[in-house]
Amino acid sequence: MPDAIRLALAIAAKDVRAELRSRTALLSAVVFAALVLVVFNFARDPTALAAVDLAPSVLWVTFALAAMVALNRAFTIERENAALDGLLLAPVPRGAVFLGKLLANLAFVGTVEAVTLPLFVLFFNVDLGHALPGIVGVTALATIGFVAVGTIFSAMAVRTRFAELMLPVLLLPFMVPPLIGAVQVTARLLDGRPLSEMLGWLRLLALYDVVFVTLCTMAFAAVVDE
Amino acid sequence: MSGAASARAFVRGGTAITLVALLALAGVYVLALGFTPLEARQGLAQKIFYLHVPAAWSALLAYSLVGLCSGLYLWLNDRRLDRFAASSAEVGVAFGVVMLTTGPIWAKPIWGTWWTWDARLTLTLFLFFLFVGYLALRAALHDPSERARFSAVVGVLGLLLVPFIHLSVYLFRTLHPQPVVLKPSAPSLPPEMLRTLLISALVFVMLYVGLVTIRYGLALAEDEREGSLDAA
Amino acid sequence: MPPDNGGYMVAAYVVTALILVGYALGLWRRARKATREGSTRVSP
Repeated sequence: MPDAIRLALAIAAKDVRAELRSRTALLSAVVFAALVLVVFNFARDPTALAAVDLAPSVLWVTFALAAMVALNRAFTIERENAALDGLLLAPVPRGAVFLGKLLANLAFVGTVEAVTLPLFVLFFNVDLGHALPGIVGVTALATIGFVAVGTIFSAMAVRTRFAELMLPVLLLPFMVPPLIGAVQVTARLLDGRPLSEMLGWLRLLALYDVVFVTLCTMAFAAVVDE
Repeated sequence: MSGAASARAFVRGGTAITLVALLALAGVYVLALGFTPLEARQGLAQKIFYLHVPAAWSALLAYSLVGLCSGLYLWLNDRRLDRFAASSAEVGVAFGVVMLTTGPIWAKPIWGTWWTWDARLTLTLFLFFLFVGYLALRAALHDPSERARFSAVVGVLGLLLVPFIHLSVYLFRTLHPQPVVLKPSAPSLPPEMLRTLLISALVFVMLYVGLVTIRYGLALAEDEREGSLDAA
Repeated sequence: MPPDNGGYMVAAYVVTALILVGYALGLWRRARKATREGSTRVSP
């Protein structure tokens, strides 16, 4: 296995282990997601709007907000430990470091999403049925894109005084294409529409992932090096 | 020329261009209001078009240059590119505010609603958020090298986001048949209206150039004061 | 008979002028302050 990949996996494993020990990022994100779901439920008039019509939007707004909480906490912990600085003194490929961070963040956000989805099904009484594999797939596809941008932006935001504010301000515009795509695909999956109706959106999501994961990997050096 | 003297030169030059441009803008006002035909179907409100569209074009120009110079800065490491990008972003916000205020003021009488998520307005809104994010990040970073590098990354990523926003809106509209909305900027624009639009666009670009030049001079003066002037 | 919406036009033209002239003026004042002859102090 090439050194770069081994390095990325090692970094990812270290971060995941650290988070599993403290669990702060995961817990805050999950609690936040549950709270958002509860609020949405009370904000909706059940007689006016069926749960299934609102479901995709509610689900994705919740995922997006919870992801932001997770991303912020993850890098704040990193900053407090200053472990990255030590690693970067060595001539390690910066792209590999980024990919390691990305994998760790994907693990965090993925876990939050995995916990949120059953909560969502429970609170909203939505039947996922045959749509479940598709929903898992589109969730992965969309999440990769915005977590890539979120990882590089949180690396920048932690250097500012108001990191918790800076990350959303920077990240929200970048979340819009993956979110729109994800909501559109999720809605069609829940409706049982044929794959042909989702292809355009799925291509958009895939293209977004390719472009932004590549760009962020390349740009990471500019963020961590002088 | 020393840094401080160059800064003064930029400010002086920029002020001259801006003054001329503002006078020309007054001329555009007269042209649009007094010497351009009235659109019978849409009335006087249609004339907002001669300000809104050039403002949008200038904002797009400003942002493209932010993105371009950000990319070049990451490649060439020339502080002048960073200073220019920052200047273009701030001036772009000014045009963005014009675009976002005239847009709804125009939309309400013509389309009956203050806002609509059509491709143009959505894109202008996102451009605005991108500008604001870029400037907010710069304001929050105090180390000059960090500020230049980080905002350059945001600038480049932002520029690349624009086609995705466009694509998202396009996909949304083609797959969701919307009620047909009459577009005020009809495809076949009478020659006098086209003439006024183009003259206005030229004046807006001149104004952009003047304002960016002043802003660049200001940035140069501030860098000088910070003592962080890098040789080119 | 064209619709009576001149008020919107006036509003847009006035707002545009205010924003552009206001920004230009503010920018000019900031630039003047920063490039004053003999001014090398760090700004507050």
